[in-house]
Amino acid sequence: MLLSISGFKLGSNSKSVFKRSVPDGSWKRILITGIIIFLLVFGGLELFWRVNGHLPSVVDDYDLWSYYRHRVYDNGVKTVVLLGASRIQLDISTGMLKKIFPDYLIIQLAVDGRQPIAVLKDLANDKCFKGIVICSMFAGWVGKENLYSQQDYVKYYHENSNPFKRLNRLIMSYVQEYFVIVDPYLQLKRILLKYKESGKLPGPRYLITKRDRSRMADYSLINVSEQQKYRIKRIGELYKKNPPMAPKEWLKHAAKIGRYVKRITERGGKVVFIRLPSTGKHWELDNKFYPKKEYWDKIASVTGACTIHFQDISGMKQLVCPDTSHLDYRQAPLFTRVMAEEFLKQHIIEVLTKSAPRFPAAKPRGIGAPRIGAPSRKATS
Amino acid sequence: MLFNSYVFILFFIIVLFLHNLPLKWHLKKTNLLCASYFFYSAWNPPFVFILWTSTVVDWFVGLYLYRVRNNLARNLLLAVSLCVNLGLLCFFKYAGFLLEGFAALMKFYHLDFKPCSPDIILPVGISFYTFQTLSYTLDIYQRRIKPWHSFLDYALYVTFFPQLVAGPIVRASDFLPQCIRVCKATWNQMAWGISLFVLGLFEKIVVADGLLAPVSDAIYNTCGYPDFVSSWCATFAFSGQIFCDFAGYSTCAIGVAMCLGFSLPDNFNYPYASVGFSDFWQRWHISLSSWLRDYLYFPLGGNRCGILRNNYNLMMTMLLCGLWHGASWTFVAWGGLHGLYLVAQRALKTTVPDFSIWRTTLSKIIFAFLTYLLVSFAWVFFRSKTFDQAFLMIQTMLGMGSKTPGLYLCPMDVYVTVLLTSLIFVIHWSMKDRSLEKIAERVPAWLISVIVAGMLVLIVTLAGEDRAFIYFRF
Repeated sequence: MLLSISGFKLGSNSKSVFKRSVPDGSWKRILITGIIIFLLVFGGLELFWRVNGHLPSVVDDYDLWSYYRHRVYDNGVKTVVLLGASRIQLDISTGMLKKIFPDYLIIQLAVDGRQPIAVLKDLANDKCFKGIVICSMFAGWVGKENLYSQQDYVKYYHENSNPFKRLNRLIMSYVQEYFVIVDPYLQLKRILLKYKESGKLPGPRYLITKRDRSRMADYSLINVSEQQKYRIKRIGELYKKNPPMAPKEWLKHAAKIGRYVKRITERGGKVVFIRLPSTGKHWELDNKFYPKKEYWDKIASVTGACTIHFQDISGMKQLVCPDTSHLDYRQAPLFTRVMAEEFLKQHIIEVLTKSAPRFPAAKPRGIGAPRIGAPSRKATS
Repeated sequence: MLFNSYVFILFFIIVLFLHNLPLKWHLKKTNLLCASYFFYSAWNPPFVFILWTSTVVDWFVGLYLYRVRNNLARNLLLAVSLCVNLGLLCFFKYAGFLLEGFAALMKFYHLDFKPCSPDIILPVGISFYTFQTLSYTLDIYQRRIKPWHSFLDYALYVTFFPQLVAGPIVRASDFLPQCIRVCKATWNQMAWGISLFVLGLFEKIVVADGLLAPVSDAIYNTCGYPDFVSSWCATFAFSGQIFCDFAGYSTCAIGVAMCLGFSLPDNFNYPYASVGFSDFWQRWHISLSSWLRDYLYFPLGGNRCGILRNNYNLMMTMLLCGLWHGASWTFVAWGGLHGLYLVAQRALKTTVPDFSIWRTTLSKIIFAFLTYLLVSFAWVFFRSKTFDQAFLMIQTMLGMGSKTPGLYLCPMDVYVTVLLTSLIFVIHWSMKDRSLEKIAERVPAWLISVIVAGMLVLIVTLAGEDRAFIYFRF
């Protein structure tokens, strides 16, 4: 059966094998020169943006979320999963939390602008998950349609995510963490548009996403009073559009969430609902429409979860949110430290002798303190 | 695993390293085969079984087809291969479409039949590898080739990862003879292969995804009535996008194969400089159009019969070509429109006298532009999700829109599209009779280095949203 090439093609005596030609010239030298020029330009651009105050930021997407969702089993019961929206991404310093509880794996699963109960439900239904859930909650979310608005992330993880996509996203997040130039914010088309609009190159952005999906906001880079006005206006409109539910009805809805808490606690896990700070007029509106006594203070008894409200803890209460809703990155380590102390107090995180918590210093600093990227960055993150 | 992903780069470095180890040739081929299965299973591991089924069935059918002399037995064997390959294709790709069609037919006869959605996931690249294995069987059936002696080589031919999921659809006679001697790229070949890979990525990431896709998406993915300029721009943007997307994939595939010492044939030859539609189909997705020509159009009778029969053959081939691209009537309409173009061109050729003026450069440029325009016009059916959307686009493109437009492209998108569309046309026209290799030989080395560096910089700084290659769907 063994064939010569000429015998393979019937009716042809050709012994030639299809072969593509390579153009004349030393392609090895050409390619190496090309790569060197590329590296020089790449380095130059990177330096240019860095000098102009830009810092790397990771693109947060479904695949990155899926990568961390997949890791919730990696450390068994010593896993802390953070759920919520933008507040928990900005207010909690995962770096500080890791330093305080070095034996614990911290997983950030919050999604900006969306409410977290779909993920809580997913973890509750996942029999392999036995860790601790810290879920950022706000009384006004309960019973509302978009309480499950993170469902598409859960769906993507279960239906579309695979090890290769997760690995690809992991490699990509490392590249994005180290190089400013790969940030889509500095994509050439956007730069040109920005330049055409304002005659300026894009300035450093105040919000940066880290590889672990936590975020850092540097409010010294933006007009804070405008942000405050915008947020107050927005929250006022939201309350007008969605008037609060009567406490009785609200409690019924809250009790439904309790099912998920029960499933996790029955497996040895824990669920903590935490109300993260909002300040000034924002907090006044929150408390006016959802008085703490009538709503939040009943969550623990209805759901069976541990609860922490920033108003109950002096260390948290004294912090001021620059935009009325989120903490600056310089405040996040202190907030995290206070929160960790509360975890220990409430026995949410059991500390074994081997893994005694270490509390690194985290002094509150004003917004005028050195910005992200300055030498203090590592300590603060 | 996409070519435009970090994980592919990592995978390819490992494969390249293993391929260059001092091992025996059959071990290297086994390595490549395993890598190819691994590459394919990255999408959905169970689908490797479909690939195996197609491979094994055609291997044995090929063997027996050559041994058996009885015509009935030969036809039966061919039927087995056709049933398995086309059956798999029909089940995974067309089940929903066929059910919908059946339900519509029942409705026509006032019978209430509501089929449940089959919810079948389409195995990536199934249209490509089933056509590739079929071509092996059909070549043996038509006594063009003998069965190959090594199953390992044959399995590698079906599964070779650079071309597995989106072509080119390689013929056994082009690939299998390469498996006899050790394929190992020289440094020069490898550097040229990497340069091709960079060029392919540039076409895909920068031109298709970064610049053109947002323009076509802005109109085709949004509800509303676009104005005249926006609808033409979006259509031309898609025209450029699909070329750069698919030609980019093919260029990457050729480059990756070259780094491993293998040669894959060209799949595109500057199609937007075609003068006429038969020229277009000799330059666009060459491996598919030649497959359809050899295994469908010629067996139907080709052009060796009367005018009517010839036109029927053309229409049939193009309608099936449309259907191959996707299980939707809009794809069939796209194929049908191309069939009509070909029929009309043939009719014009026989009726209009052959004046010398047609052969001047200016006339050729005008005809090429007209071809580009009509080809782009046909893409409307390819890009639109529904006929309603396609007809709305056509209405606005012909200036017959009855409603007040409310969907506009921003001026920058219009400029970018006009610039890139013109650039694509000029580049295709100026390079249409020359190969990339010949052009590369004439450009100074330093300039090529600068071009490679420029493409790499733009890949990094102009990357758009991550998108899969369009032809993965087919």
